[in-house]
Amino acid sequence: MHKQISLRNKITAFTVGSILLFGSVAIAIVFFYARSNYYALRQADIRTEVLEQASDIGASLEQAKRIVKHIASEKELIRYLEGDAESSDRARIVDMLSHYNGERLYDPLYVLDRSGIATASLDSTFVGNDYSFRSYFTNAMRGESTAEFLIGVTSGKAGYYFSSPVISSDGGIIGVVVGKVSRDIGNELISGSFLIENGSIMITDTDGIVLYASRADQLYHSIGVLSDEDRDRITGNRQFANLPLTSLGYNRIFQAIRTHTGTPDLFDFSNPVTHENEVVAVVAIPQTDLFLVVQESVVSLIAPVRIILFGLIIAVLLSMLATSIFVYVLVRQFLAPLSRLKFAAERISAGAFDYRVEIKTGDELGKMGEQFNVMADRLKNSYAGLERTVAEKTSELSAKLVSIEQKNAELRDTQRAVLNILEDARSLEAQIADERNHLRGILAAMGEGLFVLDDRYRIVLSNPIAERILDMQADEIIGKSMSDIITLYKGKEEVPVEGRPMVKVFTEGKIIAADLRDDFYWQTSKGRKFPVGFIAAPLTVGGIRNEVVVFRNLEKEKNLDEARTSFISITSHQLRTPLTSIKWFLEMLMEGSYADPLTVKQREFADLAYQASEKMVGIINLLLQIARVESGRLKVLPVPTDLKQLTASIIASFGNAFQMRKQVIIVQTVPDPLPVIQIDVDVMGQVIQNLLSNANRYANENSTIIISIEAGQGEQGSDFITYSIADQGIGIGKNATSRIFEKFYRAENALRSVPEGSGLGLSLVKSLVEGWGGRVWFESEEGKGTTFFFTIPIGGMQARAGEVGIAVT
Amino acid sequence: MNIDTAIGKKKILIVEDDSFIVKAYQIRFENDNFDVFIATTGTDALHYLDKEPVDVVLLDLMLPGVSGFDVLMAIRKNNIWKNVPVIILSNLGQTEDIQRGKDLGATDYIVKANARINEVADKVKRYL
Repeated sequence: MHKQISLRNKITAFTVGSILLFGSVAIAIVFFYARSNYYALRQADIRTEVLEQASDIGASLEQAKRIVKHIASEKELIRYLEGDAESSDRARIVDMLSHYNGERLYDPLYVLDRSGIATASLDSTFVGNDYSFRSYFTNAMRGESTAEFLIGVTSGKAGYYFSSPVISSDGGIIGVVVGKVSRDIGNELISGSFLIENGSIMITDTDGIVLYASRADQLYHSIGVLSDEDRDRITGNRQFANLPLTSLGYNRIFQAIRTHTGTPDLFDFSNPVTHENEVVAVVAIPQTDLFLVVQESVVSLIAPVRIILFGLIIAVLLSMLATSIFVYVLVRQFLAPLSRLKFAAERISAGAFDYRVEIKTGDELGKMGEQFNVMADRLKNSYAGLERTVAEKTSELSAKLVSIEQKNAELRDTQRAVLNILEDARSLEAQIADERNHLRGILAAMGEGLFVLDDRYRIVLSNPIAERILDMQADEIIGKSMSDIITLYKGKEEVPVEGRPMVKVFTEGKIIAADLRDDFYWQTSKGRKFPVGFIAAPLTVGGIRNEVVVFRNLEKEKNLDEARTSFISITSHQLRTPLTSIKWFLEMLMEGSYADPLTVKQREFADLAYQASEKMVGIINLLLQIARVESGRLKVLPVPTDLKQLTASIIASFGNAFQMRKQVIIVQTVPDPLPVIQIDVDVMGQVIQNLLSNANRYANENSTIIISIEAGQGEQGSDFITYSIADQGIGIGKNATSRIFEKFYRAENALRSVPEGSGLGLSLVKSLVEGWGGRVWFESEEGKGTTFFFTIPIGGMQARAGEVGIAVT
Repeated sequence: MNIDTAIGKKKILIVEDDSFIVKAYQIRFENDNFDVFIATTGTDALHYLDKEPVDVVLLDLMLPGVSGFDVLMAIRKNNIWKNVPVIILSNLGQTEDIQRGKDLGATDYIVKANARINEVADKVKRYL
């Protein structure tokens, strides 16, 4: 939670702070600038002042010196000193002296005789004293006018002594005039100087002895440390009586005095006593050997600046105060609209959407006021809209609630029903479990292998027999795709997956059965290969397509069948051998050259026997052929064949059989030429041969046999060729019609006209024709003739890799 | 008759197990002045291969033990006998058998039941 500081306070504080900051900066700048400038100025002032004062002092002292000198040259004084010193003369001298001391410059003014004894003085106490020890006397006696600062023996007061020798008319020095200036030089001469106020002024001699000081603690001290010689000299001179003349320690000042070059020496001085920074000016008082030393503390020197500084600070502070009040008050005016806005916002958020604010300040706040109002309008509208929507939704919701309530009630009913169902389901489950076990039992007891495939040809169910036949475990079978574990062969060729009967069951939706004749083999993924017979049927359970495959290992049957077939083969061949010997012996018998010739009758019998044996050969051949066809071992090798040409060659093979009976054969084809079709010539040849043989035998002599080969159209593009042989012969009676294709069946009229017929020919024809997918039938009228028809698909015969061809040579 | 001692006449070896057929062959070919030698089993036929080759062999296929095809193969492998005309005379009439016979080197193939004995004799003479 931030502390809420009002805007107004912020502005005020900011303003005040700015003033403070900038004011401080300004003050600082001004102060330092002023300070340094003032300092320099003050220094210059001091210099000037000091020079002035020094020259003033110098001038005053010079004047004092001149007066004394003038007095020394007074004739009266000279006369006085030349004569004896008498009191009357003395009085006149004293008057003269006091005349010269009209301004009270001297205190006193006196005259010393050549022995140094005061003969006349403004101060009568002086008279008679011996001042010969004084250097002003001794020097004067040497002819030098002197100026010297001393502390008077008599008065005990310090003063400046000016002496001048009195020279007699003959040129000898007869006395000394001495004038002591002892007035407070400082006060007198240096009055009104502003320097006095804040600093100190000293007048020193060349030794640095402070002869005058504005400060009492500096008087009669030495500026610096005096050397022993100087001390001795001074003491010997009795200049300063017994004053200790302690050093002030102002070594720098002392140095300045000692090395004074004549121009004022101004320097910064750190006062060792007060530890203040001072500006010191040292200047020689002209025409004297005195120095004027002015000490001014820097602080007081630039005191005015300080005052300015304080003034500025106060000004800043005042302005800060004033501003803060001013701003504080005024800001309220400017910010008033803000608080109005704030209030308005509060009102609106409280829900009073009609509240509007009026700000006429003509600035950003005014704009804000406008915008606020706009916003309030929009808010009001959307709120109103929202309220409406909410109201609608609420009523919707209530309606929904009602329906939910209803549904809840329904749900509860449903719940109850479901619970019931669950109960039933449980008992059903138990039933199903029973039935499943039952089923398992059945499956296990089946004599054949069983698969159930799903629509992806995966085995979902198998029975124990299946496992046994395939020599695989259930876990190797279940879930696997059938093509993964079994490869289908027809004869020696692998059947591709698309051609597999299992696939066709699904795609064509019909039951497919395969037995020994289909010649299917299964090879398991383990390598076990066996002949297989199966029935596969689609099974849709609850929309799920499955396939049931029941299968058997036909090995035993195949072996049996093969045995049987080879039996037929072998048997027929075994039968032929004795027949051959019968035929051959009859032949040789009839020939007559190997045995005795036969009589006619004997020959006749032998011939009949021969014919019978020939018939038997025919029967055996036919049986052999039929056996081949029925065993499914028939090889079919279709080659492109022209049926008309084949017919011609078959006719040719009959030799003169047709000519013998004066039968004419006409062969006609529609279209001409016929399309070439894939035909096994042996198979087709056998059919044509058998039918032609019948035509030859059952048609009348002198009749016409018409062979008609027509290409025709069946339904849905199943085009075929219809081959017909029409004869004019004995025909087939009604009661024979249904049995004409039976093995060994001979119609009565046929028996009578062709006794040697075997009754097998048509049976073979039927087997062969139907084997290639054709149809065989006849039209006949007894006594008129017969037409036999058969069809062959335009696609011809399917190749079949059988073991034997139809031809029996 | 010893095959080695028979001279002048044409020699024919008949490999056949059926006695009736054998008898018929004997009568017929002796009539045509052949020296007829007979083997009733395949093994017997093979023994002949050690001897002088004949002029023609009539070979049946359905023999007990060693089959006619084996005999044919043996004949064709035999350096001395390999060029001897071998006519298969069998009642096995399937095209496969005929083809196999021809492949193994048979000179001709006749189905007994379909042929007259004179036809057989004519064919034999043709290959001499």
